[in-house]
Amino acid sequence: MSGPNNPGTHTATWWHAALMIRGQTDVDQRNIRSVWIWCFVGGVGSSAVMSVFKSFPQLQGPFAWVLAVISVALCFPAVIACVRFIREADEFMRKVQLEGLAIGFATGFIFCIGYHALEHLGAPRLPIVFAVVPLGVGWAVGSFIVAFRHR
Amino acid sequence: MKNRLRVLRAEREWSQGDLGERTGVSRQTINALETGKYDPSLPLAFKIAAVFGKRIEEIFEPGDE
Repeated sequence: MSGPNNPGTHTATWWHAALMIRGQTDVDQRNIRSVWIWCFVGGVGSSAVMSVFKSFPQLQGPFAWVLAVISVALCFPAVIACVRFIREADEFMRKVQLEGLAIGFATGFIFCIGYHALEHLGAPRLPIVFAVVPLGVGWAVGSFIVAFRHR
Repeated sequence: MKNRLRVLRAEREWSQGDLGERTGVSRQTINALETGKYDPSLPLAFKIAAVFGKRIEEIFEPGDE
């Protein structure tokens, strides 16, 4: 529960809710922190493994597979942290984030399908990881739209 | 759904943040409830009723929809 240690509760606005930077309950603050930490760990792990693969292109076999599995495994705690955050989230926060995620997923899905068609018409080919951009931007914009609607 | 949250809160001179603290939700949730943009879950409705010492139906009533 929020309390004296969480003075931002009383002055937080809708965009604080969208950015998840102020006014959360203590449970939300803890879970958001956990999400960011595990996202950081997963990102650093994946980047480190990709750096190794690029630096040592001759690296093949079981060791390379172990590295790849480790990089993927390091991302799973972030997924668990996200699910826990949504499950335990304050009701308004949950509504904002779920609708934001829905908008982000739909945007990413439409982008992937739509851009695939555009590639046939001559648009430059993009790496598959580029799908993260419309997903992330869609989620962020969606969160703002929903938070603004319920301000 | 209509509710009397704003009136009950004003009677006790509580801010939205105060009510949020007592019910374990954020100020934004209380604001969304008061403005009728969000209907509370059943557990939250019971918590709010308990905080005000009233029954749920004394605070919340069906809307026009």
